[in-house]
Amino acid sequence: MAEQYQLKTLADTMKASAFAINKRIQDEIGSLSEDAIESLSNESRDLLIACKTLYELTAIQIADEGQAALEKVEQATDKLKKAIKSIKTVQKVIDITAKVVMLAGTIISGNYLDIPEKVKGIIDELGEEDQTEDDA
Amino acid sequence: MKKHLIILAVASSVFFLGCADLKHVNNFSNTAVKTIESYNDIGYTFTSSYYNYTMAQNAYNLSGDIDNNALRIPTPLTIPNEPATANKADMAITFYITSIASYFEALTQLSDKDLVNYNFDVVRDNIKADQALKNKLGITSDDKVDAAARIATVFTNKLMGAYREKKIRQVMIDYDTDVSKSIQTLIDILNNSILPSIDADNGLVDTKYLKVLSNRKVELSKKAELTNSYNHEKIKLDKYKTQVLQLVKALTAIKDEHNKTVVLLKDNKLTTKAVIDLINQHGAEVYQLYINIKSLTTNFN
Repeated sequence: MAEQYQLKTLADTMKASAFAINKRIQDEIGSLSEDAIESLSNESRDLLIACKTLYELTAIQIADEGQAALEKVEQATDKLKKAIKSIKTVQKVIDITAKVVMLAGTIISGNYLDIPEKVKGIIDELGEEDQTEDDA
Repeated sequence: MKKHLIILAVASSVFFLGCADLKHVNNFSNTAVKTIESYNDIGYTFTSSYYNYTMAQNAYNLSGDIDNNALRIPTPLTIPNEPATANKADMAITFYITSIASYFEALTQLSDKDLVNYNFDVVRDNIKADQALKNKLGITSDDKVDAAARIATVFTNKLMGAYREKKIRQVMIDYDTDVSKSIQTLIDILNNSILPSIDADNGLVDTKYLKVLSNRKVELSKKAELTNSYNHEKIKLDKYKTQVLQLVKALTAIKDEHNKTVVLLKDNKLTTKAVIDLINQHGAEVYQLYINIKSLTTNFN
């Protein structure tokens, strides 16, 4: 593929030619025949349509050349997201601590029948954490 | 006693050093996200341009037996590789818009004071409600549990505040070159392809109307109506151009903010007054440009 500079230069040249044709039509509208106006307009139109495709190719070329930096930006975003997740995890640890406290109280009190239920509460809390990770 | 003094000293240093009000980062990043994404509000893309200006070229092509008012249907235009190339170019722009906006969105979230408001309320309530546990831990009064929960809340929030500040600072410094380069690439695409394409569409609108306005068989009253439509199309293209130029300015300001902030961050904290002032100054500038883009969208669409 041609370089972006070449593509844009070619597109600019085509566009300038089309604008020159349009100006000529405007300037000589009273003296040009309808056939001449149509022919010149079509020529201008074709140049403009072709130059638009070249501008699109220029955009694609510029984007491709910046791809490596954009991938680094995505890495930076991932790092920030991991930090956000860590911050949210701290609250999760606190919530689990609350349940562990209840479990400890149950054990100390000797209410052994209540232990499975308390353990299940902790497992459920951890399960929510796994679910959050999957969603992320 | 000595042990208590050490704990108090460490606690105080954590409390004061860890105090991170990142509102300025949050405000700026939030404005940056809205501004970058405002490209989608403008409403001009290569694909829309293809349908609205390229394909509309034959709208007033009068052919057939014009003298007897018997016109043929205009022949549809077929453009090689279109709109596939237009779509591909739009996808490239969308990729940049999305990726850069995502970076600033993550900065917004990480600097948000409401991201998590740590609290030990449930831990506190559970301990207070469990006499056996309190006995085992030697807790003689619920006031002690309340005090401990308050201290734990303050320290956790402050510690995590310091963590946020450190992470933001580190990522901004480490990735400044790539963030700047990506924003510059987006600016280059807008300057070297979108703006010239809008210009080309201005030429296409001229060619579309020139043919019919120069046709001597079309009545003057009809030509007056067409002139009005012509003006309308020209104004719309001018609006697109103004908005894209405003976006280019805003992107330049966002890039500058990131660059200059990172220069300061190498010797300063994110919460230093000079850093706050710099970010707030660029934030105000970008916000004004964002408002300009939005108001044109609201008033003309």
